[in-house]
Formats: sequence, structure tokens, C-alpha cells
Amino acid sequence: MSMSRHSAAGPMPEDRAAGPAGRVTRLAALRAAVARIEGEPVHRLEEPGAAASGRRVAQMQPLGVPEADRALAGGFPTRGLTELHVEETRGGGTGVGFALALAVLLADSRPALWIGETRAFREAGLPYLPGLAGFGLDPSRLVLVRARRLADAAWAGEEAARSRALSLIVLEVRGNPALLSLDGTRRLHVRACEAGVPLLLLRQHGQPQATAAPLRLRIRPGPAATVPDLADQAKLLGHPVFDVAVEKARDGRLQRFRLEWNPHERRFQALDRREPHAGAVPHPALHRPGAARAAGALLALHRA
Amino acid sequence: MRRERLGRSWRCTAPEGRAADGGDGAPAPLALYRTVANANRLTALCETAEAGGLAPGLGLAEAKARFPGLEVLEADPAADRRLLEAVADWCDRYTPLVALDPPHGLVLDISGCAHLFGGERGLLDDLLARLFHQGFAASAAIAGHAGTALALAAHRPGLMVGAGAEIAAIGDLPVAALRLEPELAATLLRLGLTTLGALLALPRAALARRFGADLLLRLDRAAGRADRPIGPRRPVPLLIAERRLFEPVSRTEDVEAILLALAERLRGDLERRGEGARRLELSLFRVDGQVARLTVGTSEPQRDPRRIQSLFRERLAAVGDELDAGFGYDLVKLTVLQAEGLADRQEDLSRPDADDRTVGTLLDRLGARLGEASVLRLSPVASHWPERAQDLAPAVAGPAAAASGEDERLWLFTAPRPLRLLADPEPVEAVAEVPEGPPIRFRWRRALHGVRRSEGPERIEPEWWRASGAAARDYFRVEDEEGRRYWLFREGFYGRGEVEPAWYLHGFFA
Repeated sequence: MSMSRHSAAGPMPEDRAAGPAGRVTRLAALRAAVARIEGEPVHRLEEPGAAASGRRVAQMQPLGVPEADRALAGGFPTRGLTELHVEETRGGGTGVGFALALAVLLADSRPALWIGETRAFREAGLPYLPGLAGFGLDPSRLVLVRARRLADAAWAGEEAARSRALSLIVLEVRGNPALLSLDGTRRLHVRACEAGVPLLLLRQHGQPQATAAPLRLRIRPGPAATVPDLADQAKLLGHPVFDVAVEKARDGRLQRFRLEWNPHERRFQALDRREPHAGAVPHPALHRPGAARAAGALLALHRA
Repeated sequence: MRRERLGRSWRCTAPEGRAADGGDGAPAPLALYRTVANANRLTALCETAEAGGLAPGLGLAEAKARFPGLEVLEADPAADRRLLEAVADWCDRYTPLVALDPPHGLVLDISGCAHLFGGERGLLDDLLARLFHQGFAASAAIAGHAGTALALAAHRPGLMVGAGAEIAAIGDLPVAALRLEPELAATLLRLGLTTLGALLALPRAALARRFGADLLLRLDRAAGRADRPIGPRRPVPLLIAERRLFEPVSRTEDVEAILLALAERLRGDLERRGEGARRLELSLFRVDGQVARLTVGTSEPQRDPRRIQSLFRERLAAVGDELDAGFGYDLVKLTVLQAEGLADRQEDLSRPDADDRTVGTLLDRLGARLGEASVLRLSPVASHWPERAQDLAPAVAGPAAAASGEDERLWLFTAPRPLRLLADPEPVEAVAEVPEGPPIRFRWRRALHGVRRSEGPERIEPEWWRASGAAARDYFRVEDEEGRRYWLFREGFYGRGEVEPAWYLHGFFA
């Protein structure tokens, strides 16, 4: 058997003509064949030809936070399937927030597509335009697909993954349906890779399961940051914070990092970095009477 | 009713006995009745019952006493109406302009269609023959005016009247041809005015004074002196392409192939008009008279046959098993219901696959398969009331990506809004520290959440210019112990009014 496989994979005349790039592809195919024989998951290997042509750099979107980019080995993959897991439906805002932050980072002239089931939307809420706009996303660049059944949603996801007309696809499902197990995710991944489009499979209360996606992240909510200029007001809610655990990656390392999304500057930032706000000190009003002075004696009363 | 039991070609006056299929010999005479003014009266009779001496209007009890074997059923006008509409659907094969004339009539505008069926006589014969084979006893007449044709159809079936000959044709029709009120018809008969010719001979002014304007109007319509408007049941298409099949087809692949040929034919017409289709309809006429209709919309004007075919392929796949081909379709018709101007575009040789780069193609496919209401765009609405601040409109049929106006961006100046909003706020049990303050913990969907941080309240009053009956809400942004962020509100106030305030959860922040 090994003999026949060797002869099938042996050097061909056209291989030599194709040059080094062809040889790399060939090598990757051989590696994949060996891996299949040895029972190693194929998707852990490098993409064929990616390293040689230098496209690998362009296929990553750096998140702009060194810790996160290190954990993700360069950034977020901009083609193929990525799984995002949220532990509970009631924390669904967090997963969606992370997906939409990526949509903002990856936005170009093409729209983003958000596919979900009608029942899931009823349970976890519909996307809300004022909130999306406040989050930094241009709502006119978002198209929503509300599928009546899961099969329809999966079909729409495959159909969208084949198109090159989208900047990002979010496919939101509940749990671990059989339709989107290893086979289903593989189909999605292959199509999205071919079209060069990022596809996020957002699972509400999803369990870890065999998947064809090279990267799987578990998103948990983190306590929101404090408001920069009112750091003493501990009760106020600042920018959203995501606690991201890398559960599956190409290099096999499990990592965990925290990110803060800044909707005004439309970028991720590290948690500890606190820049003083430039316009923190208000100018005195010119045409108005000044602030009324406190009348009478000041009593030292604490707040209730 | 009896059609269902004895087959669709049921006739009371069938010459041969039905021993072979039914076993009970000739069927009993049938009569339909309806309750009119607290009395059951016969409304329709089969031929046998009529020959026996029964007449519509007779009391049900009397008829049963005279004919103990009479089978009586209650009349069902809604079913009659459905049957008439099904026949009208079927008549779409002759002309797109089919109007109902309840309770039992149809008006077909065949201007410009007759030559396709071998002239007016050919069309009339074809129509009647097909209806006869479906088990209908129909009569028809053709005239230059709808009113004339309707008057003739019942009393001079098969007659064709050219323009100008209407008055001569209706001269000897009975007054009943005008379908007047029974009292009026009886009065006319008592006065000896039995034919339309006699009515036409009378002075108009006296006729109108004595019997009302309605009689004159009906008379004028029958005589071709006034037009009876034809209200088509369905929107009149801009363009039609159809193919009649000698051998019925039933496979979906065959239908798609025919569809492609029809779309090719439509393309030429659309190019001449400088337009592309925005909404197309495919009508499949089954051999036994059923008509199935499929509609697709496009996000941009479209005339490429392949793309039209692929859209309908999705639609056919979505309909799936619901579409029963039965014994096959013998007529396939593709119509353009809505079109828009489409400028000719220079194709690019270097990018042959530019087609699948457009979003429109993808959205059309998704819309055709999942239904247009499933593919949505969000658009802002100038309202501060949370539920009304956005509008979900179909992306396919709507205007292509309307730019949002500056004046509608109210939310940019308001407090933060959640990413997801529940369609209906869900009640929660919340405990607040101070009556008007934020909650310290709340129970939602049976899970207890402790509030660690909160912001608010933000009071949102209902829109006073709408009579919605909603109450003012105090919204709070809260974060629970796990870091999940919610949008809660309290409706009503403590200590004011007789209704206790209630807490609701409305949205989710990132």
C-alpha cells in the first residue's frame, strides 16, 4: 500500500515546471497524506503554499493588542471558519459583541451578513440598530438573515461562504446541532477558505466538540472597564471587556487573554492602558454666567 | 360535494347508469338550500329535481314532502366562490385579464389574444371543450362589450356579436338577461315588457323615472351603449412569455429548462424597453386545471436568463414537495410583474466571474429560497421609543440600500443602547434598594442575577402623539456578578398610582 501511495505522490513533470511554489503545494499534500495515515487531524497543518507565498501575513487581522496577537499567533484569521462559543444564552450579548467588533475591524465596502434562526432571535433578541451604531458598526452595511429552520440557516451560511461579496459572515446557532458537527463545519470552512471570507460560527451555550475550524475561542464577559475620566465612580460602566480563551488553535497552545473594545476609536485595547483624556478639562464658559457658588456652610455629610 | 363522491364528470342527466362505479343506480335528485329570513329555501337544483317540478325559492319542508328521496345539502357560497376563483385561475391561460362576475360568471378580455387560439370561434370552442372535460356545464358568448356578452351568455350561448350589432342581438332576449332584482323583473313581466327590445323601444326618461337609473344602466351596458368596466383579479403583467406543451411535463428539470427558454424570450423584450425585471412570476398550469404560482423578487433590475433561472431554481427547491405536479403541466408562463430601468453595461473581459462578487446576487438567492421576509436590512426610524427606533425591511424588494438621513441619527446623542433588543420586554422580579433606584438583584428566566454596577435611570416617556397606552419607563444599564450587561427598566412609580411598578428586561449589551 505504501508503495502505491509513493508512486502516486511521486514527482511529476509538470511539478518541476511549476517551480518552487508547486513543490511546496506538493509537499503540503504529501504531509496531509502522511497525517491522514497516522490519524493526525489534517487541519492542524499549515495551509498549502501559504508560507511560501507570504500570504500568511495578509490573512491575519492583528487585534492591536500584543498579548492577544501573541496568543492568536499573529492575529485573527481573515479567511475560513472560526468558532466562537458563549457559555449561556443569557450572555449572548458578549459573543455578539466580540463578533461585531471583528466585523468593525474587518469592514470594507462590502456588507457583513448575520444569519440566525427566528427562534434564536426571539430568545436572545434581535440586533438593535441604535446599539450597533453606538458600537461602531455602520448599520447600513449589515444584512440580517432570519431563517425559519436550522437547515435553512446552515444553507444560507454555506451559500454566503461561497460568495466573495461579503466582508464577514456571522452564523449564530444554539448548542451543538448535528448539522454543524465535523462534517458541516468542514464544508463551511472549505468554502470560506476558497472565497477568502471570514466566517464566524457563534454558538450559544455550545459544548466543546470536534470541529473543522482551525481556531475556537470561548468568549466570556469581563467586568466592564471604568469610565476613563470618572475612575473614582466605580459604579459606572465603561467600555465592554471580553475574556477570551483560546480552546483550539493551529499550534495547539491554550491561552487566555482579556480585551477591551473602544467603540469610539473602533479598536481593541489592552485593559491596563489608561490614556488621560485630552479634553478632560472643560474650558470656562464665555457667554454664560459661571457656575453658581455653593451658598452657606458646607456640611460634611457622606452619601447614603 | 357530489363531484367528490362520484367523480368530477358527474351529471344528473348522464344517459348510462352508474351501476359500474357507484352500485346504487341513478343518484338521487339533489337540491341546495339556504336559510333566508328564518326559513330554509331551495337555492339551486340539479336537472332531475328541476324536471320533477321543483323550483328555487320553494320551502325545504315542502320539497321534502313532495320528494321523500330528495337529497338536500346546505349551500356553501364560500365554496362556490373558491371554485369560481379556481376556474378564473385556470382561465389565465387564455388572457391575463380575467374578472369575476359573481356568483357564477367570469369575464375574459380577449382583445389581442384570440388569434393565438385560431380566432374567436376557436378560442370559444377550446374553452368550452376544456371546461366540459373538467365537468363544468358552461356557456359563453363573445361580444364587443362585457355587458352584452354577459347578457348573451346565459340565453344565447355560443353567439358572437360584432361591433355595432349589439342592439339587434339582444333585442329578443328575455328581461331576465339583465339580472334585475326579482321584484323589478316581476313588475316588468306584469306590464308585458318581456323582451329587451320592448324595453329599448320605450322613452328613456320615462323608464328611468318609473324603474330607476339602475335599469337604464344595465340596459345600456347590455346594448353596448355604456362600458362595463372589467376589474382584473390579478395585477396585469408588463410582459408575458408562455409555452404550451403538447405533452405535459412534470419533472422539475424540465420546468427549469422551459423557464430558461422563456427568460431568453423575455430578455429581448426587456432590452428593447431598456428595463430589467424586479419581480417575476412563474405560473404552472396543471392538466387538471390547478394553477401553481411562484414569485421571486430581485434586489436590482435583472434580465439575464441564467440568473432568473437560478432564482426560480431556489424558489422551486424551497417549495419542494408542496408543489404537486400531478399528471404534469401543459402550460408554463413567465410574467414580469414589475420592472425598472436598466442601463446597458459594458462587460469586462478580464473579470468573467464578476457576477458572484455582487451582493445583490447573493441576497436574491437567499431571498428566493428563504422568502423575502427573511433577508432584512436595518433602517433607522426617527423615534426615541426603543421599540420603534428601528425598522426591519426586506433587502430584496425594497429600495437598494437607502442612505440613512442625518436627522434620523438620534441615537448618537442618547445614552448607550444595547446590541440586542428583545421584541417584547420580559418581566423580571427585581429588588431595588431605594424605591426609585436601580435594582440590587433580579430574577430573569429563573436565574438570579446580582447587580454589581449600574447606571441610570434614563427616563423614556412614550410618544404622546400616539395613543399607545404605554407608561413611562426608567431604564438602567446594569452589570451582574459575571460581567454580563443588561438593559432593565421599571414601569410605573412606587407610591404613586394604584398599580405596583413592574420590572422588565429589554436588551443585552456587549
